[in-house]
Amino acid sequence: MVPQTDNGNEMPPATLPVLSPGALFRRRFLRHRLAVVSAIVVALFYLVVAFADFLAYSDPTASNSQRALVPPQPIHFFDDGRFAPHVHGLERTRNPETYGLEYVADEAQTIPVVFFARGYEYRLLGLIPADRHLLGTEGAPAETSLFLLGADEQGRDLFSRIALAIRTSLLIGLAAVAVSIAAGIFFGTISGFYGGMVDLFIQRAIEILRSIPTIPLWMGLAAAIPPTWGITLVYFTVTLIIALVGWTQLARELRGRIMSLRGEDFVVAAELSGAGPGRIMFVHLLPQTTSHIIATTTLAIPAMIASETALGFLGLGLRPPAISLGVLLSTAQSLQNVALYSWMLIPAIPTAIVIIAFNFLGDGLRDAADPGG
Amino acid sequence: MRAGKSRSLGNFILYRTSISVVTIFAASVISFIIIQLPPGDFVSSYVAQLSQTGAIGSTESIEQLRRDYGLDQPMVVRYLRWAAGAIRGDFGMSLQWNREVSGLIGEYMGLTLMLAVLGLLLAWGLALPIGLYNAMYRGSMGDYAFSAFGMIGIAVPNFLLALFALFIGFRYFNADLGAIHSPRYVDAPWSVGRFFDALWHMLVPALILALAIMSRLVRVLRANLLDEMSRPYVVTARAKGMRELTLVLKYPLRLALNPFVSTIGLTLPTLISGSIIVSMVLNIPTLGPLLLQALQGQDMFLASAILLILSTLAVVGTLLSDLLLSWIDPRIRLES
Amino acid sequence: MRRIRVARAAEKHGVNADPIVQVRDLTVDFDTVEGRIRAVDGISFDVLPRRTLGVVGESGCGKSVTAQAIMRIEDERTCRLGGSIVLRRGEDTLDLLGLDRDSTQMRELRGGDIGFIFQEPMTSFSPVHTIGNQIIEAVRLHFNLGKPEAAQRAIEQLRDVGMPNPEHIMNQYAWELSGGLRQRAMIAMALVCGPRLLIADEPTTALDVTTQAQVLTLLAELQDRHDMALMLITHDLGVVAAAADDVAIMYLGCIVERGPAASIFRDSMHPYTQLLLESLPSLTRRRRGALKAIGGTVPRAANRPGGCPFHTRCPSAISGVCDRVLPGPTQVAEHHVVNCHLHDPQ
Repeated sequence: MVPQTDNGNEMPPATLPVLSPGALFRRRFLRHRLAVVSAIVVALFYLVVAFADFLAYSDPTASNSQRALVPPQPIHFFDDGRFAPHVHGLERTRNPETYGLEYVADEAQTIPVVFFARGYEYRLLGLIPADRHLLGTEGAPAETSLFLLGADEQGRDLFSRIALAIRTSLLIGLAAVAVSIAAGIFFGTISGFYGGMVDLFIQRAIEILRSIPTIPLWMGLAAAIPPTWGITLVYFTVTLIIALVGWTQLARELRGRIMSLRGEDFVVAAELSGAGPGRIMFVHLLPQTTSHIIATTTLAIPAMIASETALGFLGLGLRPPAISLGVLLSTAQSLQNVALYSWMLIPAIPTAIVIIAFNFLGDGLRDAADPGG
Repeated sequence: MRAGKSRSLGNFILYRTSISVVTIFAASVISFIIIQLPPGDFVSSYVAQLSQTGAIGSTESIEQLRRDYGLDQPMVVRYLRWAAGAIRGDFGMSLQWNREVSGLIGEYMGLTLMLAVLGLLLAWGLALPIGLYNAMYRGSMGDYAFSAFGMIGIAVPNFLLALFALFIGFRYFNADLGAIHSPRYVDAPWSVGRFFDALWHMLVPALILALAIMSRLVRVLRANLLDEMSRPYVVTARAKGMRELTLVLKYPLRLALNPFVSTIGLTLPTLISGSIIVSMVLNIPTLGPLLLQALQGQDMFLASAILLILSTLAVVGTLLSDLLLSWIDPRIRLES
Repeated sequence: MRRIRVARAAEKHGVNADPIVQVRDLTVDFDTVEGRIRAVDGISFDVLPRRTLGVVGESGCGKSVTAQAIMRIEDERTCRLGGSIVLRRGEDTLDLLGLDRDSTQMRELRGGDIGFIFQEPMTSFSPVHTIGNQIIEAVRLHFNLGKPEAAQRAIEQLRDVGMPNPEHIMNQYAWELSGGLRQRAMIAMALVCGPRLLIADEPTTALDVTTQAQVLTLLAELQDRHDMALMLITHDLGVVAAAADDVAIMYLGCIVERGPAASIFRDSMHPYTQLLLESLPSLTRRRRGALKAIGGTVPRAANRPGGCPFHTRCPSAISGVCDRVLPGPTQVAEHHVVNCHLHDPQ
């Protein structure tokens, strides 16, 4: 007989170098070109999160009725053949026929656009006081003169507001994921480990939660947030509401994993050497599921961001004066806005991009971690 | 609960049905509690509304209103009253509309179901051929394109898609996607003509709704098919000299369909959620916008009723698909 | 092990007959995450009519892949074939590698001229279709017959392979049968279109020992009765010793030694063959003591050593030669070829 292993597979080599699981994981991941590109996109978005105030050039809360609904403004790169980025001053007029407000560029007035200009004051990374911004204007405050992506009905610059909205929405996504991961890990692990009545109860609870359509459930819960609550409290509550359904998915998947690992010999060995259930669960079993948790987390974040956006869009999640992608989009709820002030839809573009990128990234991670699955 | 190996179909139906009943009960409690969460109640917001318009009710009549609606009772009593009514199909009065909730919901139910069912049919009808194509020509440009497109379909939330569609429809086709009835049918009573007219106008909203679910189904089917296609019995069939397409249709597809059927149940809550938000964006008169209004106006009987009915729809749909599956594939009864 | 032969004259099957299949310089490459891996490295052999060729080697040596290449049922996405596989049909010859996998001609050959038996009879039948359904389908793919006629033919074939109560078996599912009966059903399905070559890929590996012998005897009987060539792929040298007329020994994608069974077993030339024979538990040879095992492990196909593939484990490896140069074929006896530097006249 030829030597071979029990299952008929070839024997693993003893001496020749073989790629480690980590190296194989990286190699498989790098083969997903879309996932790699998405990883870069996601990283860029989190740069925006970190430096939102630096990227914004106008105070996102400074309303100015004189600049309501300014359309996106063209930026001119050359002045008399010389490279000198500038915008023209704005003249507010009423259309004599429709009586609608219109903005006309005042060709005579040139407002230079410069890098690292001084603007409104903020705290960099929430710590360091600063007033420099990536872009800014000279001679006139940016709040009244620079509107790269237009202004909303209160005359606030959309570009700056989007930068801050990305920060809010992406952070709320992370926070909600953290909460659901914690709950998912906890319930999934004990459910899979103990089985029996505990498992039965947790699984029924998950089944019930999942069989209620999420949007109406969220709507009901979000509508229950008292209008008197402050931004922070609302922020926190919205996070919890979104996480409420999110944890069930991870809990289910973990339970399955833990259950199959539960019967492995190393668990019996750990039990025999006197390890308590807590230690077995969280020291021996849980680390085996790390790749799974990472992939699921990456796929859960965009779902959370989408949820916040959807709730905000309906006017049920975060509410003004908070600035989130959902809040920005809620102005696009009326057909009139979509038709006449189409730039109000611009926040939908970064929303879609970040959600798609996160999904591709999570997908690539999952494939790399679990090529069979 | 672990099923005994000898469980018959009858026992299985009983078991699944009882679970559904428990789920619906839980959903009813949740719907009721959620609606009671906000501080104050409808009467206070009603009074606030009245005082704005100048018609201030006396304290006595406010108390009377509270008693009429049973708002002075403890929560459990109120729930039991409400649940007892709900079982009989009596969901109380909508305070905003000053009408019976059941009648109001009945009016909106038709379009809600139409949108959801049409979305489900589209998702299924499109997922089957695309999933089959992707699995058979895996790695081809078509597979790649469909898969990438599908990822986007899964990723982009319904309401964003609806919003984009609304914008494009308005900007380039000068069409209002939310207009479900042609002008001549707007105020007409339901008729065959009005039905098909609405169905036609529902196509785009239903497609938006179907896209995410379809993409998910395509992935499931593709993965299942690929799984089955690497099985030895497929190689055996190939070794017999079968044509590739015939082979795939006869063997792997048959086996891949079972897990595919089981996903209907899972997609129903998603489908209903989706139909709610899509119709809110496009302003299609379904239960979605009605729910939003009810929530905003603290119209608690209407809101609870809609929440309960949507959950019940999802639960009953899931139950039906589970029963269907257990009938198709006896192994399910033993596994679940 | 007893030699499984059914009253067969020793020289009934000519060694000099024209081969049914001539494999020349066959290479099989797989595209994997770790890069392109050569699973079969330019092997050549003939399958002669009415004779049994035993292909022996450890798991992963490329023997199954070779069989799949002849059937053209290789995994088309990851697998690249090179060289030639020439099939003789009467006066015509046909290079199978030149055909499209899914072409009419290839499909006619597959299951028609060449039958295939798989290792795992359980999973090789669809679990949701009856045995009858699947055999009838095989018949109707190659013969223009109606369902009743095809069913009749299927039942006859089942009877031919010694299946008890074939009419009843027709309506059963594979998972309702015992392992031995399942493999008989599989053989019946492979033979139902009267192939001239039957390829059996580890036909006995999944069976218990007594059933193994029955199946091997059955294959030998059927081969005689139907005048087929048989290509028997196995990791079990005992099976080959019992059943094969010709033997090819494979190691890491190469044929290291091939020739008539008698010659190979009597005068094995390649160190690998010799080691394999020594590790074979023998009832006939008078040898005592512990069985020998071959030292070391098979390198992974991705890490094929240079020179002779076996030199890492070979007790007689010549350093500076065996690890540098791939040995070419040397004829050591009539039809007996060995690829080894020890026997290379140069």
